[in-house]
Amino acid sequence: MNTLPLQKARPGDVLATDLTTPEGVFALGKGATLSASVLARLDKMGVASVTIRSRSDDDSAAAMNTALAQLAARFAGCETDPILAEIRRVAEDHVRLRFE
Amino acid sequence: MKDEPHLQKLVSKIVRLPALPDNVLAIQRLIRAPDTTAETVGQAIARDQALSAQVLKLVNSGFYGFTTPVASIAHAVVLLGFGALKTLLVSTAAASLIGSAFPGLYPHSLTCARIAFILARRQGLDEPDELSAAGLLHDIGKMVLATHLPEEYEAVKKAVHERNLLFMDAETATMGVTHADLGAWLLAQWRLPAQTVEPIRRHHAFDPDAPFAERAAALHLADILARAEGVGDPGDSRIPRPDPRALAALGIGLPDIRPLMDEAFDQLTDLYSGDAAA
Repeated sequence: MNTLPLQKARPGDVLATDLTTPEGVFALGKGATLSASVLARLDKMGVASVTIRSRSDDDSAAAMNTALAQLAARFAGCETDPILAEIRRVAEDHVRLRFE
Repeated sequence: MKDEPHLQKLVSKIVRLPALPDNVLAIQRLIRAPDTTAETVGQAIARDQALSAQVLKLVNSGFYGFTTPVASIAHAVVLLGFGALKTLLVSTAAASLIGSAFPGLYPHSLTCARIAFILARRQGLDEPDELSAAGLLHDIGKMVLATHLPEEYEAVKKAVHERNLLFMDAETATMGVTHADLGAWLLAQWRLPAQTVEPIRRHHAFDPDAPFAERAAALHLADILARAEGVGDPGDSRIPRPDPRALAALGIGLPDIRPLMDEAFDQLTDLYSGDAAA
């Protein structure tokens, strides 16, 4: 979940919280998907920022980074063994393939 | 064996042996009876619906290298033969015991089983399906520890986390015995053949002169590769060093690692989605 200036929001983003106008009027509910026309209307209503759920590509990148960090931890101290170094290289390639 | 007194002391604390279910024991008795044929055994399994379902689930879990689903016990008996059937029965019962020991141990075991099968086939070892079964059972000693020796298990877990040890090093430090010894002890009690039991005993302590050394070497490497691929949870977060003598026994060198791991990776995709519960 992150809060962005309205201009950075993209069609397809999903609201993570209820959205109110600067006057405090309820505009859109949590879970609503933003479209180009909704974004234009929010802009007219003076909404400056939105809080959206993490985009799925961000999630996938984060999951890949977690998997790579876990892999690095598993192999810590194994650098001097040439077979283990090769096993690590291949396992790393496999992590990247899984998240491609 | 130097660890024998430690092992005897430890297993003397186990009040009741982790038990095979009655239906499995009955079929084991049938298998041991003279004149029993594979067909008779197949029919006995087929009469037990719950057991049949478990056996077929395991047969179709990618555990054996079958490319088409095996739909009936009769078909499984034809494909596997008599010897493999005995191990399959124990594996069926063990799969749910392993799954209940701690989360992640079963996916790790299944990954090791699949890699052991691929390794056996690539290196031309006898009976790859038996080696696959050994892969599934290789950490069954951890199940014994978790379910039957709770105090020892807590001490091992503490050592793993506080000192970032390999599970086996934590076991040696706290008990003087490893899950490999415990597992081999249990599987011998369950009357599994030496070609399954001995490699499990040696999967962290390779000895080129021990019986079934080549199979032990395959299990040793399959466990390491399963850990490298990061499926499931073997109970620690490190990778044991491959024993160069084990690689030599298998005839595996540096250039063989990538093709071997790539072939294994292609067969692990379903396990990454996390639905490999026992």
